[in-house]
Amino acid sequence: MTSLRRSKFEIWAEVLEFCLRTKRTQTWLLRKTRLKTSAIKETLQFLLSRNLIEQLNDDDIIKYHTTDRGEEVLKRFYTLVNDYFDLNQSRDPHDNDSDRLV
Amino acid sequence: MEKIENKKNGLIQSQKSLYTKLKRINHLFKIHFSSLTLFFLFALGFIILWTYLLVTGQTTTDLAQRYGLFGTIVTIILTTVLSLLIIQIGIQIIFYGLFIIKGNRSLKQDKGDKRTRTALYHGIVPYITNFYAFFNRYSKEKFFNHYSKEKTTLVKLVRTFLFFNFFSGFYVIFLFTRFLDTGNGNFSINISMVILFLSMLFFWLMNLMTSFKIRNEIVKWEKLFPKLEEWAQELEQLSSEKSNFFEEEALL
Repeated sequence: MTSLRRSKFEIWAEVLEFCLRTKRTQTWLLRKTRLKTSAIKETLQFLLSRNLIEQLNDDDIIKYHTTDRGEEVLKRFYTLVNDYFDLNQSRDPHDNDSDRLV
Repeated sequence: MEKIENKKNGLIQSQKSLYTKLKRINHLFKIHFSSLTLFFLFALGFIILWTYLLVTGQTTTDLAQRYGLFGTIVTIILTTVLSLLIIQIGIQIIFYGLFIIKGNRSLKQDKGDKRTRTALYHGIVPYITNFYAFFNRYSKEKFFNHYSKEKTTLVKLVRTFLFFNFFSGFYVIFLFTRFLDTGNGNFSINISMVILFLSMLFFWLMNLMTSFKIRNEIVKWEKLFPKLEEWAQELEQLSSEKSNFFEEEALL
């Protein structure tokens, strides 16, 4: 799977999940996400600008960690997927306009 | 403080629920893959034995005995269809195997990790993205002419597999029940063929059941992905300010 094929939601959700439990460096994320340096920089910049991850200085090493807001966004992502696989779900998942982020 | 705890518990609950569902789906794929592999192996054994008997002339099929040349032609067609079925099952094994290997790698639970703050489960997003990559690979628009185009999706491919499995499998299994009646002089070969045939029948039925379930799952995924694209679009529209539009949902 090349990075060219991946869409925004895949990359953003993946980075948010990777940084959820442990602080991660850019190099670690680069290796795990298999993105180009420019692409990971752009992704981190985007997530930082939305306050979804925070930049921390850990022993002079810059690391990234998912913020509470990022956790909520990720939770929204999980809920969205969950709704589609909920066997006892009574409502149509397409009708959840009220659950929109903005 | 209570709010923060609620938020974290909500995230863990969402993760746990999703993890369980993805595990279930993964389990379904594994069963399907196992049934395909076992069917493939038994069918391979069966065709080797069958070809050996035909080539050495140790068996004369029921149809050949009754209808002469016509029966021989049917026997050849039947052997060809069985060979095609085996090839097709082999392709399916590669097809599902590629997906399952990646899926299994991503979906793991850290049971011994004491540092876990909120994420007890991980690999959920990589599993979904693996599925998405799989979808993208097989979703291509084909242009026949200026006026018509057709979208080849993973659902179509899975339906084709199901269709082929059902008809060719049915044809092979139904006709072989006729042939097995005739038998030959060698008792051990007879028994082996019957065992192989019954095993094939069992895994063929199992494969059909899991194929139907997989088709339903893939239809769900196909509907889900546009929603995830929407999630990304909504994320793009988020402002950098610390807003509280998630809090209401978290408190529910």
